[in-house]
Amino acid sequence: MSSFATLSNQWTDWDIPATGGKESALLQTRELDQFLAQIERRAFRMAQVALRNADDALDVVQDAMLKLARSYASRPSEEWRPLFFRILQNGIRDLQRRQTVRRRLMSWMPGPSQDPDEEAQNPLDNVADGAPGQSDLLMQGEAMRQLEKSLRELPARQREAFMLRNFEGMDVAETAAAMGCSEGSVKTHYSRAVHTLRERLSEVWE
Amino acid sequence: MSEERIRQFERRSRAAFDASVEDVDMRIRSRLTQARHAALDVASRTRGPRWVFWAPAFGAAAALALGVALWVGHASSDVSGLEDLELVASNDQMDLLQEDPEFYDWVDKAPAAESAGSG
Repeated sequence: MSSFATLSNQWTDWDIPATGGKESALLQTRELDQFLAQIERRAFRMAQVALRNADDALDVVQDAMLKLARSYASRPSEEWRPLFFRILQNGIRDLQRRQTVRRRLMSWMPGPSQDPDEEAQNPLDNVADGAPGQSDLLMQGEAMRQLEKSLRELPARQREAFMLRNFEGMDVAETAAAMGCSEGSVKTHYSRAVHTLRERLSEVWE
Repeated sequence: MSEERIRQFERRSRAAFDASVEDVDMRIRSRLTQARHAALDVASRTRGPRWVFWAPAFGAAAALALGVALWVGHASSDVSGLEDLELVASNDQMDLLQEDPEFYDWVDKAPAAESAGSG
């Protein structure tokens, strides 16, 4: 049985480890630095694909880093990756929910605004509509542009499974721990995602 | 959908993603580095000695224990309460009750009968 199977039960603990002195603390800090440096840009791109906005993606990644460091830095380093991506996915989902609520609230507002600055203050304006914008300048290559567009059209859980399994190279158990679901669900989400993406991209890619 | 074609699709999409990660611009990289340093700072501050985190709990527990001790000490000055407790807890008294229950029944009813007779 995978060690990740029991992770979700352990993650709620507030566990400060017995440190073996200053040296081991420094070593752990260096290890955490290396880990975060390895995944930060990948995490940012995954968040950007989901949120369609570079600043929102940065905020979510920064928040995930802080939460990991604050609560789980003392965990064994092999647990950091699924932990980090679980925090990240939760952050992405929270932000998407807030954006949906804001969008609904804005749609209930009667008539056009009298305030000429309101358009610029509308948080929804920060959410890209798929058209080429500032954030798209970050992406090079037609292949990724097409893939990203198709990924955005997937259900959130399928997109998460695809990005964690394929982009991040996680195995099924790690992905299940990061998504907070069963391994069977991961397999189903991933398989559906691959099938849909291949179908949508077949004309462009093949 | 053949397995090989799926693997090919996976490889291609991963390569596209990896290329896009390499293309992340300097502004974003810089902000990610700042975020990482902030996180490491938090981690090093959180990683203090274990007792530091439990100190408030220990303090509260000690105050509670002191409060209970003072309260018990004050209550023990009430001697009659302790005597009652001693009578109830005494095994000897219970043994007497088992030996002569009619006598104790009479003792219990006698004052009531006397007060009824006198009144």
